[in-house]
Amino acid sequence: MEQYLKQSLEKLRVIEPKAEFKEHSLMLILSAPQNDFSPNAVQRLKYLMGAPKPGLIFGISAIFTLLVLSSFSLLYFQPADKPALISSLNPQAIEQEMETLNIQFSQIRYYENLAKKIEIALQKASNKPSPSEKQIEQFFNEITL
Amino acid sequence: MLEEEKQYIAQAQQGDKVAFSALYGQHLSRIYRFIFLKVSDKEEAEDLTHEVFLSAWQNIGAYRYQGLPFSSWLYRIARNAVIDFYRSNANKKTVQIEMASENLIKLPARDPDLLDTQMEIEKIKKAVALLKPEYQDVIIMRFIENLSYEEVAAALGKSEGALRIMQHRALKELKLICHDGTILKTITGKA
Repeated sequence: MEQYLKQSLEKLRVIEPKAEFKEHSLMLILSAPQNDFSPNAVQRLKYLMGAPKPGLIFGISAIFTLLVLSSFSLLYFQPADKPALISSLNPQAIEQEMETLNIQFSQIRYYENLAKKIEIALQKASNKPSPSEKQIEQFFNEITL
Repeated sequence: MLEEEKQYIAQAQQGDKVAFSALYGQHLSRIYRFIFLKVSDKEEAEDLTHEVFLSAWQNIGAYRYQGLPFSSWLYRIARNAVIDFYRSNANKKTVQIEMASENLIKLPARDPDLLDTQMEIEKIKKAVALLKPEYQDVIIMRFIENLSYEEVAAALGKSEGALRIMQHRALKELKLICHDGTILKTITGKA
């Protein structure tokens, strides 16, 4: 059976493409351009794709290591001459700064009110037209100093 | 590989059209047969064969003889072309088996012996078309094209041991299909 099968299979060799197809197809194929696989192109590709270059690899890895180390040092070893940076990381220091600012604001408000009160008092006392700013400033200086 | 063929390949790699024409002449029929037996349609087989040799011409510069004979390289391209063909025409295979009778191999039919041969050829062609694709590859390359185990193994990307096992199974399946007219039952649905 196997021998008979093999003989039958061999008969399939009569299958052939048409002569017309052979010629036409070959003509079309040969009119197409070939892809460039010249040694120069292959070498260029190899160079770009990573033929080992120890100097370049060492340089890149050194730069990378430096970048990593410098970023770590920025995170963990911040310079002490930047109080704003330090305080920004410390909530207690922030609160303290806010208190100081509040005190300064309340002082400013106090002196503003005081000046107005004095102005009104002077007007009432003398029934004169309101003093000039220079006079108020002079009076204010006398009181505070 | 023959020295002459090696020379043709080297020349074709330099763009020599005459050398490539010689390679084309040497391998066209077997590649066409391989494709035709797998797609069962003459026009499709012609189109795919054209694609295979076009790809071979365009990429012959990349071919290096490293244990893979040129014929095996061409069969690899052909196999991939057929796989792509079935991928893009997922429902076509069944249709083509039914249409296979329209693609009869034409022999002069006056002689009764030739008529018998023609029927036998059609029968075996249909039987091959019913095999699994990888079994088809083995049967076509080994028994129709008479390629060596080495060439077939290289074309299919298998070891020679695995190929021998595949060949045994493929023949067994082909026998089953052909046995007692099963082939006719399978294809036409008639006893």
